[in-house]
Amino acid sequence: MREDPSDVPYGTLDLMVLTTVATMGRLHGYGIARRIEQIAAGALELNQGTIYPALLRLEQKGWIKGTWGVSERNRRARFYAITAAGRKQLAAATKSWARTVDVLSRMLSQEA
Amino acid sequence: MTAIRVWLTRLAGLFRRSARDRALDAELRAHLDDLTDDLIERGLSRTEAEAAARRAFGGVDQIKEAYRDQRGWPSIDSLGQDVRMARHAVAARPASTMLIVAGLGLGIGVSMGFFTMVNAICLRGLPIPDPDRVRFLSARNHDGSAAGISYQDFVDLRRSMLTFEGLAAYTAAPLSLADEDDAPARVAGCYVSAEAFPMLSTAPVAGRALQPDDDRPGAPLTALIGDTVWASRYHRDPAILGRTVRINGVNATIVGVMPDGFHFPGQADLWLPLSAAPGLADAPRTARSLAVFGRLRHTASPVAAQAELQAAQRRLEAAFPASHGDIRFESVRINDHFNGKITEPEWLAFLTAGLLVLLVACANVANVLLARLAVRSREVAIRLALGATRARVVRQLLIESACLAALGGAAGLAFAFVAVRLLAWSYPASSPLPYWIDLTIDGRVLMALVATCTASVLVFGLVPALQSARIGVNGVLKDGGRQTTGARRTRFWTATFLAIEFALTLVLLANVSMSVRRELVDDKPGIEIDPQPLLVAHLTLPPQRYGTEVERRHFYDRLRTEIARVGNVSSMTSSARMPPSHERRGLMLPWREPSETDALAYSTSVGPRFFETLGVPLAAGRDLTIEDEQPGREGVVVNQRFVDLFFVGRPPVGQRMALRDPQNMMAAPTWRTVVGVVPNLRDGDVPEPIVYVPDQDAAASTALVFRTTDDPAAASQSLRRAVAGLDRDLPLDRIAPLSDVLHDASWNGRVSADMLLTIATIAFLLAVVGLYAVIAQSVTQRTPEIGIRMALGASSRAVVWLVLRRAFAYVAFGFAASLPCTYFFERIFVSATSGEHPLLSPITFAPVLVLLIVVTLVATAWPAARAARIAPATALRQD
Repeated sequence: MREDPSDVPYGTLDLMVLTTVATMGRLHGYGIARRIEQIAAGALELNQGTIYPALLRLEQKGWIKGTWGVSERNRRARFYAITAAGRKQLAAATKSWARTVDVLSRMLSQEA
Repeated sequence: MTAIRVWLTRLAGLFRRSARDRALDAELRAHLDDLTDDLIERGLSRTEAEAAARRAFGGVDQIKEAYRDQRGWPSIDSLGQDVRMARHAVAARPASTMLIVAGLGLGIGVSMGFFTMVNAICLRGLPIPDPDRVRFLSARNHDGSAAGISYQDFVDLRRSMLTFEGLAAYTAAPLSLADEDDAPARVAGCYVSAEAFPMLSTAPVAGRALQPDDDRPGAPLTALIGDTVWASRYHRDPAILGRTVRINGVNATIVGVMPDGFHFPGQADLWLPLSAAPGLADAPRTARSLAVFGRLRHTASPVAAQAELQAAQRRLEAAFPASHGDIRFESVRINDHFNGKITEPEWLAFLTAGLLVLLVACANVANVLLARLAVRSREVAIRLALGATRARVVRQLLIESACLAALGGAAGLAFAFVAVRLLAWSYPASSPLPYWIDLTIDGRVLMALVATCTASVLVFGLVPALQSARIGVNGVLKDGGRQTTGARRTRFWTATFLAIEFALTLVLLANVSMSVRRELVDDKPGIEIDPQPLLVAHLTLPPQRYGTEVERRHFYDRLRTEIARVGNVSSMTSSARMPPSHERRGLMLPWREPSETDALAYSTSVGPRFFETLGVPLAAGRDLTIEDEQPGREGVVVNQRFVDLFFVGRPPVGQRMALRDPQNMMAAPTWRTVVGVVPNLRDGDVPEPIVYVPDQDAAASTALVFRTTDDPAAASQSLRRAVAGLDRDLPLDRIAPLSDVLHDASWNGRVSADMLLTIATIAFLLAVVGLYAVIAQSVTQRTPEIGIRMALGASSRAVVWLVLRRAFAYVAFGFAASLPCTYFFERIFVSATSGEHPLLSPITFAPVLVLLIVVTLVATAWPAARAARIAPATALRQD
């Protein structure tokens, strides 16, 4: 039985976008959305448009920087790249995420 | 750090909105197009691909909205929407908007007009930099009365006070200014020490300031003139500097011209060095006549200054125990000395009256808004049904109120500006205001305006807004916009606001009614002087030439002889002031025990032939004569009121009496004999017991009164010539018919009455318009109900009664509420001064009540007639 794709858990989209930009280098919004979908492989119900408010949030915090460029299909698009502050934040967030998952999975396994 | 960054970018997000929106559009469009192209490559048709791309992307508009919320501040963005909406709502109903703005404008205008006056007179103070560091020094007697500082004390203080950069002293005095080729003129003047003007940061516009060297005893006399004198007397001739003029008969050199609008300390236009003040150096330490002020050093605090002042006082007390034992030096900010006290009843009454009108206007606007919202309940219900929060609805309605208040404030500002200009223009030129009172609208008035508008929004806007947000969505939408839920509560508020309006208005109307009655009903006591043939002129004998009583008396004797030769003047007298002012004195009578509390009478100093000249026949005895001024004679004339109070059952002429000296209660009083009795002269509402005392000191400053046989104006030239013949440097000042003098003197009372009438009329009109709006609105709302009543057989008379009943109920509430309001108003402002209660009486309120009934009928007539004409069939078909 195939599981229904779940909604993106609250608060995780920003981290997904940030890590995508970190691993893939300079990328436009469509590219980021496609990459997240690829990795999720159908496990997530992502409205591609929702990454734009996330991109804006990250940019306002100074973790990524957007510049205008031209996409593979020759369209003017905004390309986002991670900043030094963004890398620091990503490292911190990764650690804290790992801790959360660790704690949560131990609690869940006890339940079971 | 990050938080600040986010905050800044969000702030930036509020601007350049459209450019940012276009950029976002482009970005999202590129994304969708890329996605569509990918899907087409996977084999979908273009139409299918576009639809699939939009599905995958999610709602473009929701994304944009979320993006915008993240970009700026959603609350501020929506605030902009609310303001735009409020603008539309305000513009969409021009009639009621006009009504509201006009009402608010009048209310705000009246209160701002009053505040402008109070600001100019009580708050703003002298136009000098850093005024709080300039302190005014004075002495206080043991009984609390204020005194100045004597010259010798001033010299001591000036030498010893280290907390001040310096001390300056001045004393104002009328001066006569004469030139070789020009008639002498009386000019308001001031003897002032050289330190004064630098401390006020005012320098001459031409020539030089007074130097310490000018202020040295025995220095050649120098003078500064004001711009007014320079312009009117010397036509701004630059050669005035260095010219020799005669001031009070002494040669003086003009060394400088002070700037336009500078008349320190009040209306002065001519300044002499302090040392030139007559008799100053020999004056005893008890002659506390100088006003003293100084600027604090930057390192000194007012507390340190006070301490130093007390130390100086102790030193003086040790040296001169007799004269300095019971006085206390004190220093206050100079503006506390100059400004009127805002806590005095007349200013509080002013501000209260302004506030009353403002409250009436606010209550009025609240009612118009309530009526308006009753009609708009459907709109509000739809907004609530579509998901607006109640807080958002309240906010939107408050913003609408704020827009109305802003318009009202602008109208009010214009009103206040015109009103204040009118007031300044109507002020009599014969007694100008002190120079620092400038009836203009300044920053403080504008700030008060903004505060008033903001506060008024809460007063008139909050209840309607909260009311409307409480409406039940279902009820309103089902009812087809006719509101039933909450109608009772709304009616309660409407009734409350109307009651407040009428209550406050009636307080003002009761005042008007009282003053109109006083004006119309000629029950004022006493006889009136016919001012027609009388001419008044003022004379001040300069102490430099007329230092002693003998010299002054000699002058007056010669003047009388000269005047007797003037053709069309039949008699002359004098008085300390015209119209006479009365001084309250303790009265002693031979048959009263000295231990008894003094009876009180009023005394006024008058010259010989006073009553003959004024045309007042004596009831008994004779008029005062020159002989009465001689020591040992001591005759006085009393008025009928005095006889009625103190000489019951005794023949008045020949009685003995004495008045206490208010300056020296311990001094042995002079016993005087009553030589005549005059009828009460009309002055105020209740005649006071008055003693007319002859001028035994031959006062230097006096108002002369002449009875002329033909045109009073024609006599003025010959009178001037007569005075000039005696002393070519002596000006006969302010020659005017007595009728003009009386008119100017009554300015205060007249303007107060005019103001009261104006604001009462405004408040009354507002209240009546408010009543009309409420009744008209209720008829509109009740049209179907009235239709049903008429269909069931109600007569049109019954319908009219239905409407009238409600109107009268509202007004009756207001009338009932006005009685306690009037009571408190009277207790605070009226009985505090007179101890009587003329306001809260049937005689005052009867005309008010009649007016109220008539006006209620007029305001209700049209809505009632409309209600009576409602055709049942049309009314019922309205839905």
